[in-house]
Amino acid sequence: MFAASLAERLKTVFKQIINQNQIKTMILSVWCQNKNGTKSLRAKTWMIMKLTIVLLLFFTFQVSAKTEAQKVTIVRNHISLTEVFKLIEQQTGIHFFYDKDLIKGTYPIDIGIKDASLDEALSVCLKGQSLTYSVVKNTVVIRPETKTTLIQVQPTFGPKNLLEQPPIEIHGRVVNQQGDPLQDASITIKGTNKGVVTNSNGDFTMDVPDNKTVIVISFTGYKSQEIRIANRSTINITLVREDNSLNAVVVTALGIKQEKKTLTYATQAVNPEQITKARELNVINSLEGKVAGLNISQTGSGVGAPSRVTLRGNRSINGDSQPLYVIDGVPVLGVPEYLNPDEIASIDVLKGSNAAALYGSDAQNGAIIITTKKGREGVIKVSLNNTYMASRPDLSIPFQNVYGQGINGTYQKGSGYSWGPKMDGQTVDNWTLDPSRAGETYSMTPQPDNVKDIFQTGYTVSNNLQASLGGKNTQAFFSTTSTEGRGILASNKLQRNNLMARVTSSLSKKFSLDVKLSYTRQKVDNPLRQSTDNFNPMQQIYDIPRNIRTQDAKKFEFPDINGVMQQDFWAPGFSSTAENPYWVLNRNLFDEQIGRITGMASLTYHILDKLDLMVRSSYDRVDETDEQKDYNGTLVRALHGRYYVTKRNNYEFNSDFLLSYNKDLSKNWNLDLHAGGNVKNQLLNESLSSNTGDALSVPNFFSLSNTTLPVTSYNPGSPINIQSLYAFGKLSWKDAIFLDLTGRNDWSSTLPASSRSYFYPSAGLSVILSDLIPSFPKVFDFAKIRASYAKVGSSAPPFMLQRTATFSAGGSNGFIALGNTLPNKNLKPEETKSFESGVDLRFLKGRLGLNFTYFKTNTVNQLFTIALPVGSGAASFYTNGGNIQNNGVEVVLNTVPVQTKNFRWTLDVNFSHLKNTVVSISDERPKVIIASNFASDYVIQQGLPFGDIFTIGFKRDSIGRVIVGSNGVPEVVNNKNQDIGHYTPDWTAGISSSFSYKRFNLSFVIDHRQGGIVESFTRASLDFLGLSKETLQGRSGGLVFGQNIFKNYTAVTEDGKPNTIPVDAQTLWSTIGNISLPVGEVYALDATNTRLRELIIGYTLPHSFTSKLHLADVDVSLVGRNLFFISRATPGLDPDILTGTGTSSEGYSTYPPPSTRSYGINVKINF
Amino acid sequence: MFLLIFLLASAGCTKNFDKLNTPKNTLTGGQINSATIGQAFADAEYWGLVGDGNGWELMHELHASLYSQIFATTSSGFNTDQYQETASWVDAGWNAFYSGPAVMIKFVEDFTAENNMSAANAIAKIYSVPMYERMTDFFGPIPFSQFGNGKTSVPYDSQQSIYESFFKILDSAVLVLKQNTTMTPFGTNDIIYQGNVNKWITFANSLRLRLAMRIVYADPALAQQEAEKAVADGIMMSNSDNALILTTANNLNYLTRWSYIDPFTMSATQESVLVGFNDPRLFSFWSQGGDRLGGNMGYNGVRNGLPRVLKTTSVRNGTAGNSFVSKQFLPIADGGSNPPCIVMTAAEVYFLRAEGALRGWNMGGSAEDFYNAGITQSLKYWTPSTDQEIQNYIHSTNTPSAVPDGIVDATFKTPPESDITVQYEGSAGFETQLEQIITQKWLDSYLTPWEAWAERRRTGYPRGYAIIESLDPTIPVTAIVRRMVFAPSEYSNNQVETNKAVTLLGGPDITMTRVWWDKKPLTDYPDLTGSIVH
Repeated sequence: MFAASLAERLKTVFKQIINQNQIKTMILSVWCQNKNGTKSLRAKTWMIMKLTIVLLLFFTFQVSAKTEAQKVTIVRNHISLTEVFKLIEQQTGIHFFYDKDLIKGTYPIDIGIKDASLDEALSVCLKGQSLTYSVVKNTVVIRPETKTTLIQVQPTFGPKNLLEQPPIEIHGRVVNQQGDPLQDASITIKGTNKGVVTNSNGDFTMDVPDNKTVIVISFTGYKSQEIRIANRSTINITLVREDNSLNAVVVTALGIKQEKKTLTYATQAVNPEQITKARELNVINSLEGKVAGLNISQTGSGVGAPSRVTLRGNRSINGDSQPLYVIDGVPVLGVPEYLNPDEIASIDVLKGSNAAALYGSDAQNGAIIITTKKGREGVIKVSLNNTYMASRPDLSIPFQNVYGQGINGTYQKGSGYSWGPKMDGQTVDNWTLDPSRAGETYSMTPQPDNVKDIFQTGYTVSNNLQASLGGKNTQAFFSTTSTEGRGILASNKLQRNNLMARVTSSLSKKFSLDVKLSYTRQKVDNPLRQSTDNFNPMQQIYDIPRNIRTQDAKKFEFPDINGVMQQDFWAPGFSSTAENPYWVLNRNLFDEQIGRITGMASLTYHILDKLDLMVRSSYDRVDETDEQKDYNGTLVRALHGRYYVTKRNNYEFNSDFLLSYNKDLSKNWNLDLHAGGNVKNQLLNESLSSNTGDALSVPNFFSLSNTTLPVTSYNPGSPINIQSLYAFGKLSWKDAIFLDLTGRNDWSSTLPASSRSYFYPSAGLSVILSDLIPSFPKVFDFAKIRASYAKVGSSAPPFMLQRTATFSAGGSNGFIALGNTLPNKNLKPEETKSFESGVDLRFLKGRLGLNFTYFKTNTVNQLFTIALPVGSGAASFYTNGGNIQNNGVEVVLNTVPVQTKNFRWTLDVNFSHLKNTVVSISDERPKVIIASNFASDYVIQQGLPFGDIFTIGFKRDSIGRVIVGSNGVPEVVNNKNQDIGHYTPDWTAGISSSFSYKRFNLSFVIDHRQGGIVESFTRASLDFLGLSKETLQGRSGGLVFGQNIFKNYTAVTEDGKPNTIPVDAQTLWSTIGNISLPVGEVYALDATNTRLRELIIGYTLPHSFTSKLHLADVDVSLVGRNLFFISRATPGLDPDILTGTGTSSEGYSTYPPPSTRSYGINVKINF
Repeated sequence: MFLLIFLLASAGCTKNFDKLNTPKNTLTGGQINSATIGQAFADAEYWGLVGDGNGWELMHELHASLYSQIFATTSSGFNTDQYQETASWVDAGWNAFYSGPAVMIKFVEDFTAENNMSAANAIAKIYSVPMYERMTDFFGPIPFSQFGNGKTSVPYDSQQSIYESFFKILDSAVLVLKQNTTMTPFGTNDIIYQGNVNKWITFANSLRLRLAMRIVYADPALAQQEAEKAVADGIMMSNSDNALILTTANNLNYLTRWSYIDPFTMSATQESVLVGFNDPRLFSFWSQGGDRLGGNMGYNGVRNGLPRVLKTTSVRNGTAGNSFVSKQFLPIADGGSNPPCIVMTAAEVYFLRAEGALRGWNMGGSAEDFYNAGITQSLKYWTPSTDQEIQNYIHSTNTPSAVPDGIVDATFKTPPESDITVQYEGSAGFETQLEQIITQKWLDSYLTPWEAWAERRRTGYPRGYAIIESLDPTIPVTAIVRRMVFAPSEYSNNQVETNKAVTLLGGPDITMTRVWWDKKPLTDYPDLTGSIVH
């Protein structure tokens, strides 16, 4: 009875619609014919397709659709939706369009609205009906809800039904807007786990229980669709790309998923697909150039080197200013650099402390949120991903190739200098120390390749196999990867295995489970040692005199009179850090093994419809073993050999709970509430170390028992316990205004009782103007303004509250010594106050998007040590103070300049600018030197930018002219008081672009860094040794400082007259490059550069071909990373390669390895 | 439910925070007690004069051992041998003392005073004297009486007042010890005398004699008074009285360790004297050239102050051909014996008495007898010489020899700077006798280069070679460096007081300003010609 009247009414409705326009005519006809079922299948299919297209058009345009200001008043109890629609039609003259089967599944409602807008009325009556609507001119289209929500939709039917009725076979094809088939799109029956995936033609076939079945079609990067079968056996679907999608879901703090449009702060996501193709051994490096405000630099330790990451600049005097990494909602230890990119489903970068306020202490520098893959319901998929990347060193430091070993133009076979004679084939003594080769001579000629010869082509081979098994209630994902890398130096190798398993399961209606276990094992042979060091092969390689022949250098050892092998080297004793590079590579061996195990289990209890409780535990443990073998004959550091073993471990145990509640408070108000707590237990740097001292009893037999002097030490590590309670609430009005509030209280074990409990809040507001203001200019698809403020507290390192006294071995019964730092019993937590605001705009149907963010953070009450005069009885004391201010802007522009049927071009640009100021430190000490080396001090000084680098400079007169001594050499101020600037760039920008044409695609990333300086000790040293090209000029004198060399300086003699005193290159450079006191201002190198960071050219093999191989699909990509510099201010300098990951390693370069360009091929096979 | 359990669990947990935040393998300051105070004193004893490897390298190797011309360096980066200071080295050395052993000796003094451990307190006070003596001799004014004030500003004391305090400290400490001669304060933890109070008294008096002699040109009356008092009260008589610091595999004698690691070689001055005297200590102190590779290339010294570019290689026989510290002095791990560190030897005390006698003071004997006794004790300590060999040496009329040609570079062929004999020339002038005494004392101070440098400044002996090249245009090659400049960190961390200290110094804060006791008229100094035969 009711159904019949509904059908009648609908007919009336649609008759009215028919009169509106052509499209509606078509829709109706399709609908009616379907109902009658009289047309041929082919025609039906065609019509369904048309319907689909029309529906999609509606969906696509829905964002820009606006409701006209008709008022609706309905006060009725237990009224059906059809009746509501009818009433609305009557009151507003607006027509409704929907599939009647959709309405069949709905339930009657109680409604009481007065003078409501159409939107309000519709929201009220569709709330909870799994339906949504869009308005096109005078028509309301009712359709299934596709929005992903936190709350799972309950199954509409159970397995029982499946058995009762014979299944219906349906088939179809999934394509994109260009008509290209989409492979691996999943088709699942809504509410069940049953489903299939499309093949490479986009085709699928599946059984569905009945005609009421709704299937969900989803594909990564596209908007999901739900379609009711409605008596059709062929269903073709066109999916729409999700890029620039406002409905994109972002994983935010605590793993809470939020719609991007509702966020009150800036986040940026990174496409995980590129990361697996253009593979980096350290996955974090793949983010370079892709995120505004993110800076990455690497250490120079060779394959798999760790990286330093900062978001929006440095802010911590004592800490390292690096962000927190969170994997699947759980913070992890340090940087997850060994993570396998194949396991990653998404990476979201939460840039400011606003975004990360809920993580507390560890997230004051922002957070990088990584989500790993899960099995999908109804999807069984196995794929193989192979990458081969080769890498070549970029050897662009200019060396001279004219003068050989020696000084004053005279050959000396044992010299480390290249101030000798011109190399023109003269016969000279060989430098060998091998007595059996005494008297050997050779012809001295330039050896331009003696540096290059030592390098090789490195490579990385990576094989990943993953399987996704989507059962009905339980889904599993397995991934295993083996990676092998070889560095550009022969001894440097890496082997890594990743294993990961994740199981998700709906245990019952009320409980669901998510369990993950992953294990990584990595072995690195001979990571390159950093900075000025005997064991840093780069130093030994660059320092090879220009006449040393590779064939000679390679004979790096010889037997001494006792038959024990000794190092053969051209300049033993030249300096305490000089060795034959081939010896270092082959006889100073250092292996690092890392095992990392991460486990996580979380259980969610669906207490009520909108109320969930999640409890979770996770464990992350990193075990490291270092083994060092130095052979007999290692100059200076281990003349009699040495063996060293260290085992270290760190772990973190997190337990947390999260209660989530979502409620519509009224028709306009929605509240999303989360409250939780966390207990974190960390143990950092527990270590056990043992070595043989400096004497192996039996030469070159590496065992800890092979010594009379074993030395062992144990450090029980630093425990940290932090307990927290927190809450997050999002109040929204009309889905257009969003207010976020968070609060967190931490209790930290490292602070004194009086201040160990600390609270910090954050608040954010975002307003979607385009939705809120009906008259908002139509040029905007979307316009949002947002602002947020956060305070984040951070606790102290452990053991700061007492003065320690350390035992050490020695004397009769050992020594006890008091620590140098005075304790501070009144330590307070450090605090970052952060404000940001911005706008997000979309134009031209989503083809142009602009995000703009301004931010300002002040980190106050910083914990750091202040130096005392040591005569006070202590070297420093711990204190709270300081105010470091970072402010800046970030701009992200997303565009789709060209989009045609077969061709699509996207262009994304990001830009960021940061100003980083030390507002105050302490009245007593306005300047803190946090690191010092031969060439420079890393200084934090009131009023200056963070981390200005101070070096030795030339002596100058009152008007800034350089004073030259009577020997023509500029005088030097023997103090590092010359401020040469800082490493932080003035601005950075990245351009990512992709082109896709049929089966081809091409994408690239270019990044640019403007400004910032690097102090290069390497260059000073190469000048000092007479190795660099700069030292060619004036070998026989005639250099006049300020005239024909260093022309940009004005130089005067002591009496103020212009300098005309000539000097020779050796004299000049041995002062300027003097390795004890290098004139740092000369070696302040401009770090500005533009480089092609990434290039991927991909091709999908035709199905006609792959099917012959019984493969579903094969993608082949040619990939390149760091291919070349488009421009750089300083030739030969890669400012991204530093000597460490600490703050103070910024801007100091001492014998880093050359940057490497890598290129290769990636093949992805789906079975 | 879960929530409740969680909350209950977490609320109870902060109770263990204090325990958690207390380090497990280190003590806290408050946990040191009278049983462990000995280890704290041992720490001060060892690091107080030795310092860690770094402290040694920076203060002694790179300054005192070069300025005393016991060693020379062939390392291209070490410019102190050419009279150019590297500020960060001074800083590191300064900090190694003040934030390490200075803290510990004060802690021990305070702790023993609070706990009425009077004999232990007296020993700690005595030992603080040579610790601070080394520092004031390096710098002049230093923080002394106000050390450990816990403030952001620490005043310096003038050197004169520090020396006057030294005598008073020794007075009161010796008085206390004489009342406690049966005790063994610190027991075996005392790594110098194992708590032997009588030895400490002897050491305190010997130290008084050294301090007295140091100030002889600044305050001759006080010098004589204190010297005679010291001798009258009982001083070191033989090597068994020597103040030696126990070393082990875990606390090395770093002088030898670092001399071997860094390119530090025998200086040409040592070569000239030891070779010319045919001194048995030559073979004890130095290795033969090429020894690192098992070679046998003779004893080859190197001139101090080599130009940077010449330092590297072939000055004599190639770097490997130079003479390094003898293997017996190396750590056991490097095939040596890891010798004890030296605070003071009986030989030094005899040479001090010889000089006192030469000055006409009541030292209980003649200058010549003490000179010969000093040589005897020194040779017995350093060499396996027989009594006859010692007698032969004492009566030898050998004089320093010329330093011969190098194989590659003959530029530095150099005649001897001095013509003194080994045999004491009692009839010669005052300066010649003084030169003989100090030159022999210099040879004995092989492992105490800071003393050798102080004595070279005070007296001008031994006659060293002029350095080859000075990197500081204001310091001539013939000059002797007079002090170390104040640590640059003091100018940033203790600025007001450091500026006042420059006033106390009585001259600019440069290496050529003479400290308070450095008063011998420069006209009385031997002329360093640095002559080179071309």
